[in-house]
Amino acid sequence: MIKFENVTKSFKDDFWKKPKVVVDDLSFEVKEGALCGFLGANGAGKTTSIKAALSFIKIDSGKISYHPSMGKNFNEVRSQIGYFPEGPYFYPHMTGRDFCMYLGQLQSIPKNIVKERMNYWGERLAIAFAFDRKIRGYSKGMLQRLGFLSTLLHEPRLVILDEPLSGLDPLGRKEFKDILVSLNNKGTTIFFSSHIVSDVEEICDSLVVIRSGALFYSGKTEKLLNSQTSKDYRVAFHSKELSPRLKDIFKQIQEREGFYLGNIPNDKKSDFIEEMNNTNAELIEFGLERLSLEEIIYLTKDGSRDEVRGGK
Amino acid sequence: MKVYLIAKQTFAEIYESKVLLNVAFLGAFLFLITFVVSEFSYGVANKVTLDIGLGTLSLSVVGIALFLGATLLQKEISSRTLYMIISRPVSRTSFLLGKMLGLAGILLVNVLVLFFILYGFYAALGGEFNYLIPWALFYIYLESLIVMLIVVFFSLVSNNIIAVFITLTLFASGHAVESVKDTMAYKVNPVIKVFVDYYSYLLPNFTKLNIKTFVLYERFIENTYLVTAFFYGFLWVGIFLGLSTIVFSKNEFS
Repeated sequence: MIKFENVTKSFKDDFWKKPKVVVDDLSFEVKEGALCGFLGANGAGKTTSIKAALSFIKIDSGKISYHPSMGKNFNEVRSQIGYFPEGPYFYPHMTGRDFCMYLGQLQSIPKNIVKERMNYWGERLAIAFAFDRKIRGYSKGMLQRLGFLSTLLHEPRLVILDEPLSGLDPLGRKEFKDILVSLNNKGTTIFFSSHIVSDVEEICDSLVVIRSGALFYSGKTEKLLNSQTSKDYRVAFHSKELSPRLKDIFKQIQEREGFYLGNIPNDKKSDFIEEMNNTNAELIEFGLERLSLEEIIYLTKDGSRDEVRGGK
Repeated sequence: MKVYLIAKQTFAEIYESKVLLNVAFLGAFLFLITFVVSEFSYGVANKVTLDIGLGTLSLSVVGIALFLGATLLQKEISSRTLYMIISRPVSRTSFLLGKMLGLAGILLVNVLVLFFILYGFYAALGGEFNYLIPWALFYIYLESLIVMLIVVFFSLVSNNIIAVFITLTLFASGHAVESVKDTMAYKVNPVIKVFVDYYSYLLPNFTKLNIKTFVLYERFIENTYLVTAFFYGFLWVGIFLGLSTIVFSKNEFS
């Protein structure tokens, strides 16, 4: 649906200073029908990449292209995109209804259809009650909801969102995530940036992860998680004492008031299960040791930040 | 259609900012002036009112053009509202034209309302209609449009403060350039002569749009002058509109 090929973008902070590379030889593709998360720390180059995709800024080199079915020229492509920037400001003198009508008209959607879609999305996004209020009286969460609604008015094929979940309470985040999933289930391609990894991990089937403007990972979420899954098993059990055989099985083990927690190598799995059956130990947890997406992207195993495990 | 929608929205936004309240203040000021001059200027009270009124009107409309023009696009860029618009099938040129037309509409309302107030006082003091009054009014409006376009252009290539400063400089020098030609320095110094002559060709010479003196003293003015000044004004409108369109279409909104 959208393809970045060796995209590089640099900015100059000052006329006399050397340009700073913000997006560095970035290549990835968001496939049609994907629900793709765009991850990276603050300042990694996510927003710059999105702005380049929408032609708000020009790239130094490389190419950004859309699927031919999106349109022959960028004007046609834009009519198929729903974009919502991070922390936008809306015209405060307008009511929510006027604002949506205005954007709908700019999109050349007949007024009756705009009204119909406003009512539908207004209910789903729980913002319909404030349609007739001036935008200057909206809270941050209400602005986020109104902006998201305006993004969906023209039923875009590709939705690009920049940090759509920031500024929302947990309930609002869940509602947004549910809507993103349901849109995606109906065939809308969704590409959204976030620095909240757990949200992305929860709903996205594919990922683009950038670090200091360069690609760190692009592909299926599950593949990245599996690639970082350890071959060791993580077990927890309760027992009055630890048999000598169990002591030998464990790579490492900790004990606290009769509860044992430790790791066993994959080839000792059968021995462990057999020994559990032979003793009166109560098994509490048994599974492959699996890192969360956040740990893979931002953290090392010992918890220190920004030491990324894995590679391109 | 999209240009019209953006213009309408811009007009409403500026209108809501209560900038047109200046009309009420200036209207009250004109009333006060009318009252004072009717007491002290025997026989020519209507002309003094017209003189002060046209001057006030001109300053008011140029001031609005200057300060609202400087933030017209910058506000949209810094507050990211622009992204919501140009990510849709709306060209940058349509957006720019819409914004400018919206502000031009506010300027027009400002000019017309103030003029009707002014003309009311002028007529009440016995002033008679002169066909040059509408022309003077039109040129004041045209002048404000040029000021708006200059400040918008410079706000796109620099920042608001520099844009206001440059535009004020061009406005003041554009009004003074013809007067400089009467000075001795112009007559005896060839460097100054060349500079002033080129200036009046290469940069807006606002004196050409100022016919207030002809209106006040009921002096004859040739139709060819009125028409030439009309085209001269629109030439500068075209030049700065073209430059702004080129710059805006190439600008990076980061």
